[in-house]
Amino acid sequence: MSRRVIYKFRLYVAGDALNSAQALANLGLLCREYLPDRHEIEVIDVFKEPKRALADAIFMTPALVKLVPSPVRIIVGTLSQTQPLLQALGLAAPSS
Amino acid sequence: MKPRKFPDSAEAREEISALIEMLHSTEQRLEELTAGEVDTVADRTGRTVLLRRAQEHLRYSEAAKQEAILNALPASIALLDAPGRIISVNESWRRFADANLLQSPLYGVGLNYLDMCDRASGDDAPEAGQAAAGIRSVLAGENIQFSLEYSCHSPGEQRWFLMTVTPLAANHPNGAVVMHVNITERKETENRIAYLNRVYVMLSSVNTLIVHAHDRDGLFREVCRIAVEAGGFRMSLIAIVDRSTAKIVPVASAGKDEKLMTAIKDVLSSSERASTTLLARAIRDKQVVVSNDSKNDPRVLFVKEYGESGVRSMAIFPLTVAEQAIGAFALYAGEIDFFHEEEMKLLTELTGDISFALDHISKQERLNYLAYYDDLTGLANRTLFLDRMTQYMRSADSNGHKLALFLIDLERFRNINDSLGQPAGDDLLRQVAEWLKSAVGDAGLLAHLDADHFAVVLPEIRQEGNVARLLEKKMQAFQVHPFHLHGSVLRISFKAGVAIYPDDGADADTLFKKAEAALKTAKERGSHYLFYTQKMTEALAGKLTLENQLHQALDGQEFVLHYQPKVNLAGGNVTSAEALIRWNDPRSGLVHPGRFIPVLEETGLIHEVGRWALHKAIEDYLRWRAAGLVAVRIAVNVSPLQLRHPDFIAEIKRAISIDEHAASGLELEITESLIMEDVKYSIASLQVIRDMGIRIAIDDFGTGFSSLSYLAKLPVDTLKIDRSFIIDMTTGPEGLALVSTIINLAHSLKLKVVAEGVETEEQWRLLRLLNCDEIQGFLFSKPLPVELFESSLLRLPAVL
Repeated sequence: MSRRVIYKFRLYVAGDALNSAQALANLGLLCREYLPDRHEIEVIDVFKEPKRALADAIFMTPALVKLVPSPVRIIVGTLSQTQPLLQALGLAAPSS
Repeated sequence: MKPRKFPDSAEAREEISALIEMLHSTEQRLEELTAGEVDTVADRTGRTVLLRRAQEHLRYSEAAKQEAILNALPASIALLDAPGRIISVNESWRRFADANLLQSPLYGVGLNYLDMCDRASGDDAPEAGQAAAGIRSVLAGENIQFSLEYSCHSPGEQRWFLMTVTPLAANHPNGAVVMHVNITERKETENRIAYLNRVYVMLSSVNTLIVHAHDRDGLFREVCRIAVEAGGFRMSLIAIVDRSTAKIVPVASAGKDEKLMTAIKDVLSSSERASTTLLARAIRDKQVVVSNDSKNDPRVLFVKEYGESGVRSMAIFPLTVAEQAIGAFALYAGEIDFFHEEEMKLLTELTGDISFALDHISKQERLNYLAYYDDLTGLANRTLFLDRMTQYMRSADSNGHKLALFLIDLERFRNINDSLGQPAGDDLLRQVAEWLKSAVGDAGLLAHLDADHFAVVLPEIRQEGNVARLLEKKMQAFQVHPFHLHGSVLRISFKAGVAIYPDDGADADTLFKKAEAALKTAKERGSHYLFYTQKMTEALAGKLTLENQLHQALDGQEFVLHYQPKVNLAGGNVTSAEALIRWNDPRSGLVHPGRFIPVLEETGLIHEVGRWALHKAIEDYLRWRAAGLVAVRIAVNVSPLQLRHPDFIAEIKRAISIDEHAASGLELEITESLIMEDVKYSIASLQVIRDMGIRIAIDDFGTGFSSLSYLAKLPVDTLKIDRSFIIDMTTGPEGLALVSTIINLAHSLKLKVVAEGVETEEQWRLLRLLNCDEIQGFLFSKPLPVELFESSLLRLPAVL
């Protein structure tokens, strides 16, 4: 995989609810560590833009959508478990 | 969209509760599934279904945030409900409560804040009352904000707070937020700025003053005034150390009431307590003394009085000139803790400026002194003396008298200076200055010009003779005065040059030069003194010699009486005689009275000589009587000085008391002008004399200005027509008519008439025609010595 691929994320949050805030904080940490200068994060508040959630078929928040690189993946939760998250995002080899 | 209709039945209600139940369990299931990590769940249409937990969490987090914010604030905040009860407080309030007012475990929560304010007592009560009123007004919705600045001073420190009260909800009053902010720092900064400003204003005013100050007292007074008016001090005081008594004396003050000033003066004048004052301390230690809380300062003496005058702090600055503390400047502030580092720095600078000005003034005075005074003797120098001379000259001009300037040169001074040394010479000069001061009686009339030269001015002289006499007298006194030098006695003399204003010069400079010239000549000629005008020196010298000789004449009985007879015109016989004084000078023979009578009058010798003449005449008369001669009455002349002497009548009484017949042999001749000078006094005293049996004649009649009305009242017996009328009598009809009139007038007043100075037959003939009673003159006889008078005239048979 090319090292120059830019990861594009879309994080659906419920205002500044606790889990959402935690998810945003965890995502930020992860990107700074594993994808420095290779990421774009778009944060969407479902209270403000419920239609976009519907368009992406998001029914729960917080929910992270990895748009690029494909395949598109959706992860729900506070994103606090780093290792499974890295696997889900394709940034780490599956544990043996 | 049509609103859905719910069936109003028990079945429907059941369905609803079943749905709620399901929703609840679904929610729980969802929680379990998402491990609590999910905030929202949406249905298929995208509608958000809020999870309760998330909602609550949101609420909690909001409250926590607000609390955190409140706790983070440095202000002490409490929420009050509508009746004023404290329902919530922040962290700062709790800390404040810990340290301060509310010792309850809940930091006052639950207590009624208004009650607490209402119950406040002591110094804080008025402010607590204002606070309560303000809170009530906000709780009642009358005000949307209330604020109050208040002080809360603890023993250790002064603190200031700002309380603000705002409603909990803007629309309907249901409580209030009370916030206290500690503004001590701001307040202190404000005060410091205000204090500093006051001190700055004062500093600049005083500095302006210093530039213009010329005298100490004015400077002190103004500095004190500025301290109070510009500096905003309650009081100010300047005290100076009196060098002679070593006591501290207040010399200027402002803002102090009389009672306090009196108390301070009392303490300073008492010897024991004076040293305990802060003023004394500042002066003694040459150190600033500060008392920033006078009320609680054991060093302050008048704690009560200062308290009553509103003094809360004070500072005393020593005034130092040439490293000597000459006094102190005290400032009293109405504020506790006024004197901080910055203020002290400025005020110390200010005191330094005042000290500088004092130094400057005293140097100026010293310069002035040196410019006008001689440092050695303390007498005026030439410059000041000339200035004074000019003033005396002006006064002499306007009063029409003369002025004399003496320049004095000490003899042998150079020798004394060389042999005993300059310090001894200086000492002698100081002693001479002292002697002159006491001799002249006024240091303002003296100057020390240089080395051994002094100057004296006599600002008012009437007769030059007096000047010479005075000078001789003083010179003699000076010569015998013992001056003490090195434990031994020294006598010295001086020479003097005299110049008279306006005769010798019209201005001080010229007069000075003339006096210097006279002094120089005196030294050359070896004279004791010389007047600038030679003639005057000579004339005065002659006069003084004469004076001395006259003294001797009196002692040596050199005076004699000559008698000139008065002759009856009808019978040709001698009726009486006029006694005329003569001086039989052993050196030059008989001296004419015109030469010495004025000197007798000037010197006052006339009294003694007059007394002598009176006694001598009585003695002669009584002798004639005893010897069986024709004892004629003797007329003695009375000089104005004698008549005016208060003892004159007693003198005559004494003279005639030696014999019962003495009075009948005596007549007094008094000039017309003298009688008329004070006619009422004359009438009275002449009456007394006449009552003793002594006759009185008016001498030189016609030369004065007799008032006819007084002439009739005068108690006199005889009228003597002045010789000038007798001379004029033969030169024209007017002269004759005049004498005729005088004789008729005298006769109508029942007075005897004597014509004086009758020298010719013609005069004698005319006087006889005019019915004159008696004549006196060379025609019959000149004045004769007593022996000759006796032998040639008194042995003739006389008819009285």
